[in-house]
Amino acid sequence: MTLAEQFKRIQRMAAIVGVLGLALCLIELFVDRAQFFQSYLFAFIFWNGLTVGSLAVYLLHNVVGGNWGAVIRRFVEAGARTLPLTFVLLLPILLFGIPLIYSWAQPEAAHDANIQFKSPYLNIPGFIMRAVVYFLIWGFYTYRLTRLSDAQDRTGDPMIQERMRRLSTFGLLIFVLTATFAFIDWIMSLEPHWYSTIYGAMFLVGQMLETLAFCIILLVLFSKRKPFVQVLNYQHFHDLGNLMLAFTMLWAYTSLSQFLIIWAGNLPEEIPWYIRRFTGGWGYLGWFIGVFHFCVPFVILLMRFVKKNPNLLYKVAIYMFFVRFIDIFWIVEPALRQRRFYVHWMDIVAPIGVGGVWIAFFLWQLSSRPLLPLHDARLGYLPLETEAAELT
Amino acid sequence: MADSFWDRHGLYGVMAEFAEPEELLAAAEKAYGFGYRKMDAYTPLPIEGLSDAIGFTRTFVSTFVLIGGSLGCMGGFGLLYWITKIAYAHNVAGRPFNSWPAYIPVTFECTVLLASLTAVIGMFALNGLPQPYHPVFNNPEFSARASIDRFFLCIEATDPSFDLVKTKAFLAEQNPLEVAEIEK
Repeated sequence: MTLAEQFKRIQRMAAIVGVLGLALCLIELFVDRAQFFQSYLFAFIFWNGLTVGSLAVYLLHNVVGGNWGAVIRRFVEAGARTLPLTFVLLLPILLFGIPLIYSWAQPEAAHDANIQFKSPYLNIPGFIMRAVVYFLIWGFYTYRLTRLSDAQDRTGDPMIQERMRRLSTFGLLIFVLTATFAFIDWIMSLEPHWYSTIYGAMFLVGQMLETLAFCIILLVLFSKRKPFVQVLNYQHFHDLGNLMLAFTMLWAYTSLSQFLIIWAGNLPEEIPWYIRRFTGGWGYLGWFIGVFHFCVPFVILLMRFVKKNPNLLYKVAIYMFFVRFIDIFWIVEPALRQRRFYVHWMDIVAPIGVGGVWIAFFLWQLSSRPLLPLHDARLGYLPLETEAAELT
Repeated sequence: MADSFWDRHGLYGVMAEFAEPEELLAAAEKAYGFGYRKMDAYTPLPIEGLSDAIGFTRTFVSTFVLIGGSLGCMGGFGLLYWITKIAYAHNVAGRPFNSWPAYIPVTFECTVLLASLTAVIGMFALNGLPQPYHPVFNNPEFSARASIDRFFLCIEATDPSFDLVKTKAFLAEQNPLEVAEIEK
């Protein structure tokens, strides 16, 4: 079977699973609409994380370079190009879900002075408008950059790389700001009394970690295939493994910073966020994340032979992807579950449904362009040749 | 024993000079395959795979760093535990004496401090620097060009399978510019 046929087959399978999953979720819409949107928001945040994380990794790589990014460039480009889909996936929340999950949009909020004070920002029209603006800005950068990337494929003009870098430098700045506001809107405002200034960075780092894990999984799956087998060497996996280690540490650093400051302050408007996440059974999940999202992958990824061995790195990446899933569940859901830990069947089915649709859309985007950039100077990296050439 | 000592006395090794990094890499791989172990390669630029080729696959610096880091980690945590729980047990804002989250920054810093110190000290201890005298500089060609544009492979006389005549012949087959004997 050719690669194109395999693509088609997996794409069709993912689409079927996705549509079936989402159809199954519709049942819950008639049983308990609040529960539906609780789980749907979680599923949306997780898969939109890959879209946003892809754009982040893409912008970052355009600015800093490095041949690790050249081999995953088409993956993150395709990931960022799922923006239209994730916008459509956000629509149900924007149109129907806000009063059901966000307590600041519920009638009781009218009697809460704290929320009233924040109402110039936390209101339904503002929420919808901002979401549209985020997607427009992200879409602008994705569109412009991937168009430049296509032009590079066609013409091989070396100046295009430089133009992409310049566009991304400012873009990265705008992106981090808009992503921070997006996470504040979509997730932090689930608990409208609470605030944390490192939240955006913590969440963005987590989603970039998720994206890196996803890209490593794809890269290993493709590594024996035609365009990749010619350019890949263990150094690419070593670099990506190191990046995954760095982002695991950065995630731990931001998470712990937030925890330490709130724990030390122990103030009534801040500490409830952690009380909700460490009581009623949620604490087990919190400890699980501390140990298995940081300690275990940290020790594993310190070892060089793991990062240089694609098959081992593949397993670690799948593991990281799974722990990211649990971490997002732990961040999003306790806000809505009144200090009682439970997993609803929707919490599993909704991510599968959204994920199936996302994967199908992603594969469509991925297969519509060459799997490796055709004229990226960083792909033909041969340390011996380049460095010897510089000498003479 | 006395005889072989005399044979080798005054000889550090045999050195071959190459014009291209690929030639050095190929020669190093052949020499390792031939059974030579005590050898070293000298190049003006890093060459991918060269350390593997001469059998230098593992250094113990990372082990030192792991030990140093672990000691720093335990030391930093232990220090704060001892201070706040045992030596100066004061009630701070009603928190337990053993408030471990507050220890983490210091524990982390001590880990990094000891890990990086052992990395530097371990590096110097293992690579033998500073070293004011090294026999390879007795080769004038080496002194002149080893850090500019020539690549050298030196098989040392202490290697068990070293034989002046055979080793020279072996190196001469590897397409070098020159093969030279190096005095101690």
